[in-house]
Amino acid sequence: MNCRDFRKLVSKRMDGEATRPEEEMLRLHLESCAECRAFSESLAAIVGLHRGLAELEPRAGLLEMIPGPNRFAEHLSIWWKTGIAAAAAAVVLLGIMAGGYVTAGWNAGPSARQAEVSELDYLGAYPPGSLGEALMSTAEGEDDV
Amino acid sequence: MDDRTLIRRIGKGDDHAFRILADRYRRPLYNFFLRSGASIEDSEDLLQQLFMKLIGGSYEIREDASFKTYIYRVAANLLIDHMRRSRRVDFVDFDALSGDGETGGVRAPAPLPDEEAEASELRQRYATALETLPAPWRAVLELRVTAEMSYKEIAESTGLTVGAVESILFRARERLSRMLGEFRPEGRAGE
Repeated sequence: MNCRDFRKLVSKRMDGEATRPEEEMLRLHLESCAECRAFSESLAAIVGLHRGLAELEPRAGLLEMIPGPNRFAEHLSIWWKTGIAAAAAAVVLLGIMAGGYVTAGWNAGPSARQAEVSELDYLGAYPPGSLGEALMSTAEGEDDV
Repeated sequence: MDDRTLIRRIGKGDDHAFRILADRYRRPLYNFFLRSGASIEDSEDLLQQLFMKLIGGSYEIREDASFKTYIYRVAANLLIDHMRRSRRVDFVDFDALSGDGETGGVRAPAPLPDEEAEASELRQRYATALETLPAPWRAVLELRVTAEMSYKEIAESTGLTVGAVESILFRARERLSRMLGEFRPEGRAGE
């Protein structure tokens, strides 16, 4: 280990993080190294200077602006309730619309049903001699088996 | 009332418990932000954000963990996010921090005039030297010296490894020591 490594140990020891063997090694080194002793003293002074820094006060009323947990919960509750109510209304509305659509279908008169069927004209008889005709005639024939 | 009890009460909507906790931590946390390089305005904003998180968030503190570690972790994360967003750190006026405790702090017995002048000058130099450190170093220094967190707690709060915390603290102190003229290694002797 060189002096820089020992100075790292000085820093570590100051923070109470040095192991017992490290402390012992450092103690022996400091007995013979004036430079590292000077560093150790300067670190102690620095910690003192840092702790002596004045603490500034945050602006008065800064945290009073924040709603306390009770009022915060009230705000959340209001939004939560509003959200649930809106969701419920949307479900009801969709239900009404869907119901209306289905009902419209059921209540459709014969002309409406005929219109539906006529739309299926493209599914009319296959042209004579076509494969479709042959297949259809085969299917009809199966019923007789 | 200890922190854990206060937190439990806050979770149940106790405004009074929140005010007690806020009073307890607002000044050290505010100064943590300031000394880590945030401006006064940003420090105020970060402080408010932090306490809003406390109220609005659901969290659990492990039985073996301290609330202090937790709150400083939240603070460190807010600070890191702030630094990333701003990509620039406005250094606070550290002259204010080298003052004679106008805003609080423990006063030592009245020193002699010469000693007082010398001490004041040294504090000023220290504050100036501190200002030149990179903001992340200052944050780690704050967590160690002011918040008195262990290397492990600092690592948990900042996402650094324990080795990195150790290295940052040493390098910060070495530089401060050199700048204050308290210590000058002789060239590269011993290395």
